[in-house]
Amino acid sequence: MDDRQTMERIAGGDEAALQALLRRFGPLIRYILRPILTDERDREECFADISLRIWQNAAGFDSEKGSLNSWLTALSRNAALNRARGQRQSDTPLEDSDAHGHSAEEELLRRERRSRLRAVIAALPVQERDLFYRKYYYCQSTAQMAAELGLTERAVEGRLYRLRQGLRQKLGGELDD
Amino acid sequence: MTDDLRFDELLREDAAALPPPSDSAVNPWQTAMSQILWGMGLTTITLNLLYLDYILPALGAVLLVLGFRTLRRENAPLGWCYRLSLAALLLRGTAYVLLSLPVELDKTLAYCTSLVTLALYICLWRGMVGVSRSAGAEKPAAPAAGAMAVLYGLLLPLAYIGLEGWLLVVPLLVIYIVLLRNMAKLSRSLADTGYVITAAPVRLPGWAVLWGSLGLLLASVLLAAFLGQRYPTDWQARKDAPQDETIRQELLELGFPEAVLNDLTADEIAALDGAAEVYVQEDTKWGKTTYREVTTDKWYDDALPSNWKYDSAKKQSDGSYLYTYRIYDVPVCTATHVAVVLDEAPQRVMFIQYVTVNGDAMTDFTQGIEAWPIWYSTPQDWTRGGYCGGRVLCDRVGQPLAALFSRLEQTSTTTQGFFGASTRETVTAVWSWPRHAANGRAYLIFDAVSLTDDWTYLDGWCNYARQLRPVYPYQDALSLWQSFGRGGEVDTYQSYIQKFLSERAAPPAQEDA
Repeated sequence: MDDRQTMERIAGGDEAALQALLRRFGPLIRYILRPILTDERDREECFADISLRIWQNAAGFDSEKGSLNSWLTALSRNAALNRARGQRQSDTPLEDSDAHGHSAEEELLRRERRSRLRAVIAALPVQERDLFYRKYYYCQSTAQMAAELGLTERAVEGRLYRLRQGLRQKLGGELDD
Repeated sequence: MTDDLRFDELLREDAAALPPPSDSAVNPWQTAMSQILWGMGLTTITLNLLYLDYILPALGAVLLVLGFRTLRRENAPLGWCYRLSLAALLLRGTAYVLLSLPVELDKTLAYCTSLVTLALYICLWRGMVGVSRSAGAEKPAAPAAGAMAVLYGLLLPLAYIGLEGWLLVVPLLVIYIVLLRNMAKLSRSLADTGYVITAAPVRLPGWAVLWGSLGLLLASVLLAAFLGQRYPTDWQARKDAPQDETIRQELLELGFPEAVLNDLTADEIAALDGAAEVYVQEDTKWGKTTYREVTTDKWYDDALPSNWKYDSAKKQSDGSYLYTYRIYDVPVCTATHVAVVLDEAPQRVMFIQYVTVNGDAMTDFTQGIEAWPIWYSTPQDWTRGGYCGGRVLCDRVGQPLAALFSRLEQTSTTTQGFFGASTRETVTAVWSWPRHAANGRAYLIFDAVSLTDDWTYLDGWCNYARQLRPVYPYQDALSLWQSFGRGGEVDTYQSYIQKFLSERAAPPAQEDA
């Protein structure tokens, strides 16, 4: 059974398919939650929220737009960050929640800024891009990055410093608004 | 909030708008497993060119250490994998260093490495099962890892028996393909569960471990090769017992070269008692790369001296030519062959092959002489006697030194050629000069017994080989000489004595008359 079939079965109300999916992707989801939510109970509650969202939104998964792994990664990260910010409305995606309280002009500027960031990140060398994702997407600690990359913490800090400097240079003042 | 923190916060917020990273970008299992699988592959594959049969397995052994280093705290079997990979690296490193030294490597080290590797594969399998269990698998298992351990376990007894040939190679090839396939399947099957592990912190960056280990290994091998490719030779201050003056005088009168005589021991002089005839042939060998140029109007044609080489000719205005020759006249060694015919029946002849080596040509590495005695070329007429000796001498800082050869032996080698089997009976001697020595001399003394009453021909060949630079894996001067395409690593000088009956000196009795 491939990913598309799995999601179709979940969308059709097959609980066994959801259990199988959670068994398979449980380690990934927990891996994403761990650095963002330090409290074990928070993580378990968030995991339950994510399970519910998969159950509810399985029909929205389009395998042509991206892999199931990527879909679950984005879902888990947003859910964890929402919970970390004390926003219990797990059904409100982070991106949408961020949009609240901004004027139309600010929103336009933010979209342009993000578009520029996307282009800069896409142009980064693979190692720097991975480091960026670890730091800013997965919110990993320096210790975790060091262990997983086989580096010392000092070396990771050095690389992060250079990455940050490089990004500042490439993005100019766009993020400093 | 500092500027950096604010910048970080904005990046973290905007990262939400980025497409999610590739599936394996941050999987902690992925990098470690890639290193382990590459390590397993590289330690299994051997490509026998450009030293890749050493470089790739060494690289693989370090990659195994790096991979298991990350996973070492995940569960007990993976912790053992880390220790075993360190042991395997240490064993491999030891073997590499020993390969650059003149030591006989038996198979113990190879068997130890194989057993350690087998244990590592078994622990890897159990470790995978543990990871699978941690990930919440209903039936924790890692069949691919188990299959790999079984396959390796099957290979071990085959290697122990030492089976060779296509009957073994073909199944091995199949097993190897299965092994590779299993390894790839293993990596894929564990990718999803790999997020469950927590990478262990490290004190040294991976690149430092990789290049540090390989650098240390390379330095150790080079050090061993440059300092250790020498035969242990027990050099002592020369203290010879006085020679028998009567025998010495008789030999000198028969034409025995005094320089050679001076270096023989009292026992060897005594073995020459009863000499009836002495034949001598001397041959100086010149350096093969150092020469001077001489231009002359003389064309030597066939009379060119053996150490001269024609280079070029230039036409003069008067129509004559000037010829340029290269003269190779830097002496490397001089071989003096002495045959002493003893007044015995059956006829016995003592042969002395005496080589003097110029100080500049005395390399630090291994030296060897392979003598082809008369029974080598005419086994129907001559056979080996019971005497075989010799030694090496030199001077260091004005102090005369002497030593027995590191190894002196009469060998009989049978080789199977196109025209059938042939046996070579030779005398070989090997040694190394002490550093900073001069005036090197080495000689072999052995006897041959005639199988016929009226012998007409004496013959003997001396092949002196000197190792010019270290080689890896280690080979001594004589084996380098016998290997194909190792000309740059060894210099060999061949000389001989050939005397026919017609050249025999008149018997001493007739001279007296």
